[in-house]
Amino acid sequence: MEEYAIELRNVAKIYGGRKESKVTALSNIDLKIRKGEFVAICGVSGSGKSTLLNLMGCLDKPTSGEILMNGRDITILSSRARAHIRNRETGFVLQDFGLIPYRTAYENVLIPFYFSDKRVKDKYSRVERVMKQTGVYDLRNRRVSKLSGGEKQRVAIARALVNEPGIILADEPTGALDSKTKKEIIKLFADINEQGKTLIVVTHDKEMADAAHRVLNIKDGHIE
Amino acid sequence: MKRLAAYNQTYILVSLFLAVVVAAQFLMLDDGYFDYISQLNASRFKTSRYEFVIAPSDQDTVKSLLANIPEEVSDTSDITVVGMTLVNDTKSSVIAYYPAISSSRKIQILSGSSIKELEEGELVCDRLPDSAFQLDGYNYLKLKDSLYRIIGTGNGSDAYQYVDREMGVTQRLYCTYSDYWSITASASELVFQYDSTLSITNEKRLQSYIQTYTDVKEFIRPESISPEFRQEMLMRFAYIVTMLLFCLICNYSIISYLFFKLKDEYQISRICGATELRIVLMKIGDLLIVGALSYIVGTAGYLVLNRITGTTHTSSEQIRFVLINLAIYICVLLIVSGIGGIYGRIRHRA
Repeated sequence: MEEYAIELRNVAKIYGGRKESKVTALSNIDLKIRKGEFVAICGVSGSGKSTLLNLMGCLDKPTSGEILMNGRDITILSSRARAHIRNRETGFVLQDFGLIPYRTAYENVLIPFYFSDKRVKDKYSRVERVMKQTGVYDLRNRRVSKLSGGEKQRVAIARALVNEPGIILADEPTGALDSKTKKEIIKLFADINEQGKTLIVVTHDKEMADAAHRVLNIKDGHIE
Repeated sequence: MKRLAAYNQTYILVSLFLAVVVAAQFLMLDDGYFDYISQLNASRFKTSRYEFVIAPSDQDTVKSLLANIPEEVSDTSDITVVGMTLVNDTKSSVIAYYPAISSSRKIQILSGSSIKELEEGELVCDRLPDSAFQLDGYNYLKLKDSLYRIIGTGNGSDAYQYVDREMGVTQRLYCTYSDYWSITASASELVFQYDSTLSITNEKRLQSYIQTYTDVKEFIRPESISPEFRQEMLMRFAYIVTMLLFCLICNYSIISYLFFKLKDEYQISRICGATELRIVLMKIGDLLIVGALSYIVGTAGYLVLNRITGTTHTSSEQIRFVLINLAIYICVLLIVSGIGGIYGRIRHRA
């Protein structure tokens, strides 16, 4: 039996408590993503792409349904266990990079270790390795605020990789980049995927979607 | 920009709230301010003081006038002789009697530029206060941090004899309170003041009474708000406003900087694996830092502004300010964090 990196079973997400103010962001989502797969999730604004990503990344809980990560239902886990998953099993890349601007690139990549529940002995060598892998090692002592958009995104990707998660979740990772830098980042994602990481990318960008193994289109909270 | 505007609104509200809290503390600290306010309110309805001047050519009339004040206004401590001109006194000085700082109106400090010889720290009382104590044959009284030697008490006391002697007065008029006075010589005029704490009915009754005994036709009605009082009020108002603006600007800068910075950090921490509990602890820690900075700014502003304006507060008042400030800040931080939490939940649900 094939084990999926992520499996969603009849997942729904509804915002708002009162009946009249309820907004259904997602409904009846059934989705299976294999390990090592590169999936692009496309759709117009407000279609539910980011909500889906947040649910898969343990940032939010579904209103109903099950989400299995590596065969384990993450919707029933405690807050602590979900934090552990965010720290060790998934890595996030955001459109606005999500970096602390007044810290150096090196310090930003180190952040996930601050939240590790176990002491990581080789954290510095890991940081150096991923920074080399993403091409920002030479910028390690520069403040993030001094970096270009593409450099920032590489630092963000390095941070997502540093704890060696199996799944990388990216929300519009090329949205704030020029076309040349965008191509570089897409290539970097493709390389990361080739190394066996499962890659789930929410994107509007056709080039990014073309690089994926599979493209899922979301419309009005449903996968088409 | 929309996000920034939303943040700004919150920061402005929080900063304003903190600034108002600090300003309120100044009001609480500055007890005198409320006295001014109450005076101001009173003066809208009545003057703070009336004055009338009589020429007591007929001593018996004056005696009779003051000895027979109607029962309704019998609290004669409301009527004070504030000045007198002595007929045969070459210096023609006016001796002013000032109510003492203490709440007791029974104590007056004998003062006046013309009495240079009278040493500071000497008191004349119309009667010996209960808190006075004896030492080396003299009576002393401790008021606040100063020790006063009571050089005389009561009618015809040593005090007046002392003043007479020092000033070379041979004929004099003296009094402490109007129910307790006598005239030993004719004076050209007497200036009386009476307090507007009298009810309006009693005030009119007293005026009519005085008119029947004397030829006073007009009661001098001082300005509702004296220029000095107005100026002092403006100064204090400016003080409060300056402090308010100062705190507003400083708090806004601190809060907007920290919160704007921290808001993203919480999200970053979350995606990097921080637990909810840890984020809550981070927020509490950050709030404490913001509060501490804001507190330091407020306290420093208070001290600097006092230095600039020359406002003085006693050390106990300053300690009180610091402690009240601290307590209020803790409450404010708890309230702000509570509101923030509720607001965050509402936003999240929305």
